[in-house]
Amino acid sequence: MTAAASFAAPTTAGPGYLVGQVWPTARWLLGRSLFLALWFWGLVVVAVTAATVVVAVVGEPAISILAFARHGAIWFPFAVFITVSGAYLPVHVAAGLTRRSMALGAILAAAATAVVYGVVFSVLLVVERAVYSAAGWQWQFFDDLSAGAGPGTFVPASLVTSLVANLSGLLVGMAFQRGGGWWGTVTLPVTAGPILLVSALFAADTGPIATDTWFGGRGLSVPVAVTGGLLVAAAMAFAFDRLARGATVPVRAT
Amino acid sequence: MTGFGVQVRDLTVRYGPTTALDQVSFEIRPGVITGLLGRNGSGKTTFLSVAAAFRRGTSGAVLVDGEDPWENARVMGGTCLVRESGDVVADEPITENLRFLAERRPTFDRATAESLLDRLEIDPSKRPDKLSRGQRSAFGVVVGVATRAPLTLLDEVHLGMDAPARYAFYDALLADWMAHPRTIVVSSHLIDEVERLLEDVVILDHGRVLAADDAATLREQGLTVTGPADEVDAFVTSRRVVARQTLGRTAQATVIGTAPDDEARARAAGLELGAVGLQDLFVHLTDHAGDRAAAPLTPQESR
Repeated sequence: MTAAASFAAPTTAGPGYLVGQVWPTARWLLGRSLFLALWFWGLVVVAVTAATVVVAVVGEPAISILAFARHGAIWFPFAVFITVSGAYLPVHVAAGLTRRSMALGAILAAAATAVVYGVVFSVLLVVERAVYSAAGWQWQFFDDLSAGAGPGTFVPASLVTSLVANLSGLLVGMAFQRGGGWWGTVTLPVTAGPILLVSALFAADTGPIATDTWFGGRGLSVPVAVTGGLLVAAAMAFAFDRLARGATVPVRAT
Repeated sequence: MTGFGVQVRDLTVRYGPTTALDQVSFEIRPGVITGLLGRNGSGKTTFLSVAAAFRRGTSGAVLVDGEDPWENARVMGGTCLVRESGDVVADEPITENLRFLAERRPTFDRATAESLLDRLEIDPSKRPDKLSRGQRSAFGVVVGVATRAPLTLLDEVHLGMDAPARYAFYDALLADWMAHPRTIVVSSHLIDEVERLLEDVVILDHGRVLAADDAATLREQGLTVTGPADEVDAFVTSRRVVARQTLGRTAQATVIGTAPDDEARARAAGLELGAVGLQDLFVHLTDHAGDRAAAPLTPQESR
């Protein structure tokens, strides 16, 4: 058998592999995620601004309106990352890239997206608080841990929760990809449940999925909650990587 | 000669209770255009998927350039499987897809891709999901040819393409292969059309290999007899006739199997002999109607 002497693809995993496979994957997925993030936050700013004006006209704002976007900021990128396993995996493998590089690239993209969502959300909260302060309104973020707190509190809370949510999206998508509809659904408590768990670590009292009573009605201290959240994130990333390496690209026809 | 060779050893692939491939063994020579022929459900796509590391086999082995392709960065990077319309980013313009591939495929040639797009009359500003069925297939062809992978696997890429587009594809594939020799496997139902491209042929049927040999040897497994109808009928008496055509008093019959005195008998009867067409051989081998099911070619008939 004659080898293709002129072929110069990476022969082993190493710096070339990272540069040639993992980095392009992360950049591609991050680019698409940021494009959608632009739309998401653009709509949030428009909606929150309009709502604030309306509330100010009919009365006086007393709580953060932007805080209502918290669940959207968690579950929207979660849904975006679910599509990676179903829609992107065939394109990735068909482009001659390994599943391992897809997993690593997707985890990097999920982490970077979490930073973007966490930072944007925090910055917008600070801006909203400044606006409220300038107008003489009372600003309150209805999260036990973050109530009245500064960026030192809600920045890590937003970052870690976003990271876990994005990784959860990857994991949910891969569970459906590997196990089909039945197993994908049955495993949701394990694949999507960590979002609620980490929310509980920060004692989030928001929306219909309030978790503020899970740990005795109070959240843990920030360092403990961050550490716990990162451990959960690491376990999810590991599980996603292991599942992705064995994923089959569905056959369209035989 | 360049290109990845493929060795298939006792490969079995099952989908639940269904056996798509049943202990098949054959080889694909490096640097050769091989035709992978078979009816629907014969296991063609399954084999190609295993070779391209889209899925694992249940048992047995497939070696691409001597190595297991599964999660093998070198082998996967040198293998390009285009399934029907290709696995591309459907919601991004074709230009973006070309950039995507150029960043990931070390052998991808963007100039060739753009030239083929022009030749196949595909607007590069369009998104694949906005193209017609035939244009999507043509874009898959562009990806397969321009990637210039050492192992290029084209699975029914002609679906939906009209005749001019298909012939442009065949010409482009042959010209690019001659300029950049590599291993190409073409899976197709249009055997008459692709026959001229093929140096080797593998015929699958119900998950088994019916024949695997070079096309010339396969064509010698039978012959076509042309001449006066009554002389043709006499010549083919007691032989396996797989096709027969009549035009006025002239007839042409295709038979499987040859005899040492065929040429002498034909000369004496005023008949012309020719090689059997791959299409006729394929139909004969895969015809399961009634009692006409054909046995696989023997090892002497097929390597």
